[in-house]
Amino acid sequence: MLISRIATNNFNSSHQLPKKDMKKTVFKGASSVSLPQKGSKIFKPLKDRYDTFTHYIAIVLGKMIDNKFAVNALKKLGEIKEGNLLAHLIVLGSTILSGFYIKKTLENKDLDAKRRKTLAINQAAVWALSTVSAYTIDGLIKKKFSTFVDKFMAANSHFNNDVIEIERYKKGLSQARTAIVMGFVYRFLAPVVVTPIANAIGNKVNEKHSAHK
Amino acid sequence: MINSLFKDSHITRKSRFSKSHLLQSGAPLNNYKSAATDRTMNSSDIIVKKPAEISFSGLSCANKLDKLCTNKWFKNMLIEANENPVLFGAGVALVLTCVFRPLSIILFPGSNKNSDDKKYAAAHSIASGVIGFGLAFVLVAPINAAIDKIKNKTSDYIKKNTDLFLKDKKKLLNTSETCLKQIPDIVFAPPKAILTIAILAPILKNVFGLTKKKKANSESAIPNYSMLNFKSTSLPQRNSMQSFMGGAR
Repeated sequence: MLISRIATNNFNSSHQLPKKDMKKTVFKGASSVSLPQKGSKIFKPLKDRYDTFTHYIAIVLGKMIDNKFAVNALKKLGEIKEGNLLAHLIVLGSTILSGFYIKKTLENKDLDAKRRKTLAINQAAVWALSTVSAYTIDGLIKKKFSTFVDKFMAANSHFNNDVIEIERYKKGLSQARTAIVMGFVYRFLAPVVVTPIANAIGNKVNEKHSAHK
Repeated sequence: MINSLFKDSHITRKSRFSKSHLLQSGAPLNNYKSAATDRTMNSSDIIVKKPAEISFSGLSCANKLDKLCTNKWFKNMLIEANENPVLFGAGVALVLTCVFRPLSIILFPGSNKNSDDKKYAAAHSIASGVIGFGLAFVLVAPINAAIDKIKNKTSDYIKKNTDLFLKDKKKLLNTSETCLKQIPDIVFAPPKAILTIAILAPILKNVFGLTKKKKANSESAIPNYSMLNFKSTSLPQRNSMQSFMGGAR
C-alpha cells in the first residue's frame, strides 16, 4: 500500500492530505494468488479423453435409435409399463445368455453326444423354470408392493407437490422391485432350487428317449 | 373418541333423543334430531356399537416402515435403481452370490458333495458375483455418460427425428433410455460370461487357494509296481511272479 504521506487521525482540515497526493490504494493481494480451478489439473487430460470417448459412444447410440425401425420399435415398447419393460429386458438378457451356454455345450467336443444333449436339456429347463418363476413371483408381489408405494409417498409427503421427485422415486421403487425379484430368481433360486428340479426333468426325458430307442 | 369414555356409550338409541339426554351423554349437539322428525323410529331400535379400539402405533411395525421410507440410504438406493438399473441389479446379484448362495451351499444338508466341493462351489459363487459387478461397473459408466449427453443435447446426437423424441414429455427418449441402459446386460452378456470363466480359475487358485481335483481315470498312467515286490508273502503276488514267463519273445 503506497501513500506519500501518512494520513493522521486528525479532523483539522489543514493537516489532511490533499486529494492529489493521496494515491489510490491498490490491493494487489488477490491478483498474485490464482483462484483454484474447478477439477484437478492432473486428471484433466484423462477427463477430456473420457469425454471424447463418451461423445463417440453417444454418436453411435444416437445413430442406433435415430432411424425409422428403431422409432417404431420404441413407440411400441413405450406402450408397455415401465416396470414390465425392465422385466422383459432382463429376461431377454438371460435368454441370450442361456442360449449362448446351450450352444457352447452342444459344440463341446470333450463330452460325448448323450452327455451334451443331457446338459443342454438341463440348461434349457433351468432357463424355462427360472423365467416362469420370475414372472410369477413378480406378479404376486406387485399388488402388495403398490400399498408399500402409497405408504412411501405418505411418509415422504414433503415432496408431494414436486412432480419430478415423485416420478423419480416411483420409477426407482418399480425398478428396484423388478431388479431384486429377477436377481433373486436367476442368482439364488435357479442354482439352489430350480437346477435339481430341472436335472430330474432332464433325466426323465433322457430315460424316456432311451427307452423308446 | 370422547363418547367411548362414557359408560354405555357403545349403545346408541336412535329415537327419543332429548337435548338434555345428549348433554348428559356428551354427544355433540349437531347430532341432535328431534322426535318430531323421527316418528317412524321405534324405541327398540338400539344400535350397539363396538367400543373404540385403542392402538399404540409406536410399538407396531408401521413405525419401522415409516423409518425405512424416510431413511436417507434407502432413498439413495431408489435413486440409484432409477438412474443405473444395471448396476443396481449387479449389486443385488453381488449380495446374493457373496452371502446367501454360499451360505445355502455350505449349510444345505441334503447335498451329497463333500466339504471341499462345497467350498469350491461357494468360492465359485463369490468370485462370479465380484467379477460380474466389476465388469458391470466398467461397462455401465461410459454408456450412462453417453446417454446423459444424448438427454442434455438431443439435437446434437439425434438429427432426423429430434421432434419425435422431444414431444409428449420426452416419452420416446425415456423409453430409449431404459432400453439403452440394458445394453451391458444384453449385448455384453456372452463376452462377460467368457471373461468370467477365463478369469475364475486363476482367481480361485490364487485368492482362495482352491483347485478342482481331477477325477481319477480308470486307466491310470502310473504303473503298478506291486508285482515286483519280492518280499510280499501275499498269494496273488507270488502267483503272478510264479507265472511270469519273461519279457520279450
